Amino acid sequence: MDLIKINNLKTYFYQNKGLLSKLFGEGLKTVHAVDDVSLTIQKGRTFGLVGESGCGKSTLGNTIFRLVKATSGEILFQDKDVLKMNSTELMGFRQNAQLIFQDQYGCMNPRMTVGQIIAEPLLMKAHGDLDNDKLFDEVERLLLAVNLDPDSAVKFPNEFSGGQARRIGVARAIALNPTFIMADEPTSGLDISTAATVLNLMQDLQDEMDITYLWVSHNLNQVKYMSDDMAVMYLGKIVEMGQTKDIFNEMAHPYTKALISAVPQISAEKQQETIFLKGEIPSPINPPSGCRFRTRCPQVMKKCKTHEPPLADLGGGHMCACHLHRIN
Amino acid sequence: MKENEPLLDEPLLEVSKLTLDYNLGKRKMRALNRVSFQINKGEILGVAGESGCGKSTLGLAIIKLLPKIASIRRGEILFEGQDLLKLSEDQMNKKIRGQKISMIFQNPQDALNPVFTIEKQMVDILKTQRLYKNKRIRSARFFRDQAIDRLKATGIADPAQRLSNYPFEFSGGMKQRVMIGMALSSGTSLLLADEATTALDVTIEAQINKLIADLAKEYKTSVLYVSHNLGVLAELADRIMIMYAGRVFEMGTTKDVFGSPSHPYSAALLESMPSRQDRGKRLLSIPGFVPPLDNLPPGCSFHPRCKFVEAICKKEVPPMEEVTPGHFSACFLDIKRGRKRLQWI
Amino acid sequence: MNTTATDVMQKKRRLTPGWTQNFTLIFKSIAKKKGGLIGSIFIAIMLLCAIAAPWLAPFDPNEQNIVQRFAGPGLPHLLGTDYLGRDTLSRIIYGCRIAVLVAFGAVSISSIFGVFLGVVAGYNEGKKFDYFIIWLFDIVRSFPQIILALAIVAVLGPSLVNVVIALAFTAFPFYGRIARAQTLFVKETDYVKAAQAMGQKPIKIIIKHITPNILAPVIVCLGMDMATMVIWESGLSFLGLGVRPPTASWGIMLRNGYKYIQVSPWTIVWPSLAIAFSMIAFSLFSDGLRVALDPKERNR
Repeated sequence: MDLIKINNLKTYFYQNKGLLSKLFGEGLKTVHAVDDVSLTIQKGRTFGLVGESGCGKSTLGNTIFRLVKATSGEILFQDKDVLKMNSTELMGFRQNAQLIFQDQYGCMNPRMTVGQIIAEPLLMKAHGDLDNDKLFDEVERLLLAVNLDPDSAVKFPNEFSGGQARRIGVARAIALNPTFIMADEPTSGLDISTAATVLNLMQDLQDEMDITYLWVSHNLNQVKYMSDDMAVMYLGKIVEMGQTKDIFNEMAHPYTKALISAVPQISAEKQQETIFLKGEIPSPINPPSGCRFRTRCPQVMKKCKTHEPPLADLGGGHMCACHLHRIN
Repeated sequence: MKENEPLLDEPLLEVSKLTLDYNLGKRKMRALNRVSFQINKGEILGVAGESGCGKSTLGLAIIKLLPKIASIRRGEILFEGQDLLKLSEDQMNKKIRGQKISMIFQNPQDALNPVFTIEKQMVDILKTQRLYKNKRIRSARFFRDQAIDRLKATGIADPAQRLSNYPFEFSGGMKQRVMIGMALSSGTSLLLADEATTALDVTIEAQINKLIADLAKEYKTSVLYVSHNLGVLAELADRIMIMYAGRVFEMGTTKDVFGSPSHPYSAALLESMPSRQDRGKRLLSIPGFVPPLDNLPPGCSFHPRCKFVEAICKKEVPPMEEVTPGHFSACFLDIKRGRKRLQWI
Repeated sequence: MNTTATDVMQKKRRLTPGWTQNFTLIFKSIAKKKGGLIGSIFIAIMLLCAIAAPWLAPFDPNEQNIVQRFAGPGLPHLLGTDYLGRDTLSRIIYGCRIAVLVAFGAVSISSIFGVFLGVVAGYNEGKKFDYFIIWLFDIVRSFPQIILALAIVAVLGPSLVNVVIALAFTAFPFYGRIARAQTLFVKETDYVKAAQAMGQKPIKIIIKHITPNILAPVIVCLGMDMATMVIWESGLSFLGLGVRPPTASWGIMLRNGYKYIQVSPWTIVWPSLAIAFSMIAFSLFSDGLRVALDPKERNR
C-alpha cells in the first residue's frame, strides 16, 4: 500500500530577490534544490534516500513536512495532498509524521528538561489537558521504550552522551504513534557501536509499531542494511530508484556505480575497483544542460549534453535515468 | 582490503610507553596510558577507536600541540632518533612542525584564513620552511612556482589560476587538497591526519584518500591516519592500531586485525558495522558505555562490556603480547588459550 | 546543588522544578560565583534601603539645619551634610527608592515591550509586520536618546512616572533589535523546526522555544541598562525635569552638590559612589543571572 506518493515535486530557492539586487545585481538566481522528483513510499517499509551533500535529499524531506515551501507538484499522504492541507488537516498530518534530526543536540531546546521535550507532543495532542501523573507515566514509558533510564526525564539534554541524546530524539518522534518517520542522517556523529544501538532500536520500533521510514543518508552501507527500497539523488534529481537489493546487485546508473564503489569495505572480497569521479558536484544554481551528471560521468556521450534522460523502468520497478540503458 | 606489501623495516617514529593526563581541576583524565608503537618509513598506520579513546590526543602529542591542561607523565617519542619531548617549543617550530611533521585536520575550512588568497597563505607557509632557507632561491617567483607545484601535486586543476582565489571559492574537498599541499613538502617525512575526510562526501573522500596514499608512496612519507571509519582504514592503512580508553588494544597488519581480530573489542567493532550484515539481521551493540577517563574500571578497562570476561580481567591489566609475528593484542584470552575466532553474536 | 531540585522533581513526578525550587536553584547558582554574590548583596542592600528607608535613615532627609551645613563626615552626620544642612546618609538612603523605582521600572517596561516586539518581528521575518517594527525601532533610535527623553518629559510634565515612561520609551528599540537579531538565529535551529514539524502553534513556539533562548544577551544588557537608567534619571533631575525637589534623588544631590564642589567635595562624592556601586551591582547580578538561567553553564 502506498503511504506517500510524490508527484513531480519541485522546490526552488531564489537568491537576490530584493528590489536592489533586481535593479543592480546579477538578477534572480534560482537554486534547483529538488527538481521534478516523483517517488512512492510503501507502508511499513523503509525507503532509503542517498546522495552527496547538496543533492537535495534533505530539502526533499523538509518539503514533505512543509518546513520548506514547495514550488510545484504534489505530495500525497494517505491520498491527501499535504501541500493543499488546511491548518487542521496539517495538524493531523504532523502528528502522524515525525522527524528525527541529524544534529542530536540541536534538535532539543537546551532550556527544557528531557521530560518536557518528550511531553511536548503529548500535551499538544491533548491540548494541554493531561494530568501530571498520567503525563509522567507516559514519558517514563517512552524513555523505557528507547532503553533510557526513566530518571532521565528531569535532566537537561546537555547531560547526555551523543547516543543517548539521539535516543531521546527517537522517543519524542514515537510519542504520538506516528505512521511515518523521516530520519535525516540518524547516526551521523555517533560511534560505530552507538550507531549500531540506534539502528537496532529503530528496527525494533518498526517491527513493533509498523512505522514507515524515510531514511535519508549518505552512508550507503547503512542504507543497504536498513532499507527495502531506495533512490539515489544527484543535483536535485533522482537518477536511480528501485528495490535496494536490485540496485546493489545490478547498479545501472554510472553515478550509483561510482557512489557504491567509493564506499570503503572491510571485507576482503570487494566486488569492484573504486571508480574515482572527476571534479566536484556542480552548483545547483546553473545545473549542466541535458543529463546533470554528464560533467563527471566516466561514460559520457554526445547525447548527454543535449537530451535529458528520463527515468525509465528497467523492469521490476528498477528505474534509471541514463541514456546508456535507453539504447538497448 | 589493502594487502600488505613488504615494508622496509626502518622505524621513523617510535613511541614508547607514552602516558598523558588531562588535568581538569581535581579530576585527572588519563587520555593515553603506556602507548607504544612505531611507524616505519613510507608506512600508513591507521588508528581506530571510539570517541574518547585518545586517538586524536595521540596525533596532537606527537606534534606537541596539546592544550595547556595536558601533561605528559612519562614515555618518549623518538622521531628520526631524536626525542621530541625533549625539544623546546622554539626547536619544534623551527625544525619539526610543518617541516618534518605536518598535520591535517577534519575541518579544512577552519584551517584556512578566509580573508587571504590561497597564494598568500601557501607562500607564507613555504617561507617558514627550512628547506628554502637558502637566500639565493628566495624570490616571490620561486615561491609562487613552488605553490603551483604543490597544488598540481594534489590534483587541483589549473593551479596557477586557482592560487589567486579565496578559500570560500573552494569546496570542502578542494580545501582539504590545499591543506595536504601545504602539509606535504619533499622534506615532510610524517603526516598526521586526524579524521581528514570525515567531513567530506563519499566520492570526494575516496579521491582524497587516494591522494594521500599516492603521495605517501611517491614521497616515501609515513602517515598516521586517525579515523573512526574502519572501512577507510581497511583500504588505506598498512597497519592498524585499535585503541580503547587511552590504551592500545590491538595492533598488526590490516589483514590480520580486520581479517582475524584477536581482541574481543576489535571483533565487536567489526560486528557492529552494518556493511557486514544483511538486511534485517540485528547488529551487535556492545553493552554498556565507554568509561569516563577519570574513573576507569580496574584491570582491563573493557572488562565490564566484554562478553568473554574472566576473573583475571577484573584484577590485572593484560599485557601486549605477540599473537602471530607482527600482530599484537592485549587480552588474557589470547595468552591463555592461544588464538581462536571470536564471535559476539 | 542541582540534585536537590532533581530529587524533588523525581519524588513529585514533575518534569520541571516548581516555582520555589526554580527560584532557589537560580539564586544558589548566582550566589555560587563571587561576582554574583557581591552583586546580589548590593542589590539586597539597595532594596532594603528603598523599602525600609524611614527606619534606616538616621535623620529626616528634608530636615534643614543651616548651622551644620557642609559638615564633613563625622558624628552625628555620618556622611556629612549638604548646602542646606540636610543629612547626606539619609538622603542617599531615600534616594535608593527613586533609583530602584526608575531602574527596575524603566528597564522592565522597555525590555518586556522591546523583546516582545523584537521576537514577533523576527519570527515574521520579511513580512509587513517585521518591516513596520524595524521602521518603528529606527525612528525612535534616530533621535538622540536624551533629547527624546527630554521632549517626552517636557510634554507629559516632570514627575517620577513620566521619567520612567520616557526612559522606557527611548530604550525599547535597543532591546527590540537584540531580540530580533537573536530570533533570526534561533528560529533556524533544529528544535524550532522540530516544534514546527510537530504542529506546535506559533505563539507557543515563540513563548516556549524562542524567548528562553534569546534572553542571555538581553539579560546582560538589562544589567548594564539599569545602571544607565539611574544615571539618566540623575541627568533628567539634574536638568530639573525629573523628580521635584526636595525629594531626595541621587541626581538631585549631584546637581546641588556640584555648585559647592570647592567648598565641600563630600556632597558629590557620596551620590557618585552610590551610582557607581549600583552600576557594578546590577552588572554583576545580571551576569550571574545569565549563567544561572542556562542549564549548560549552571553546573560548571
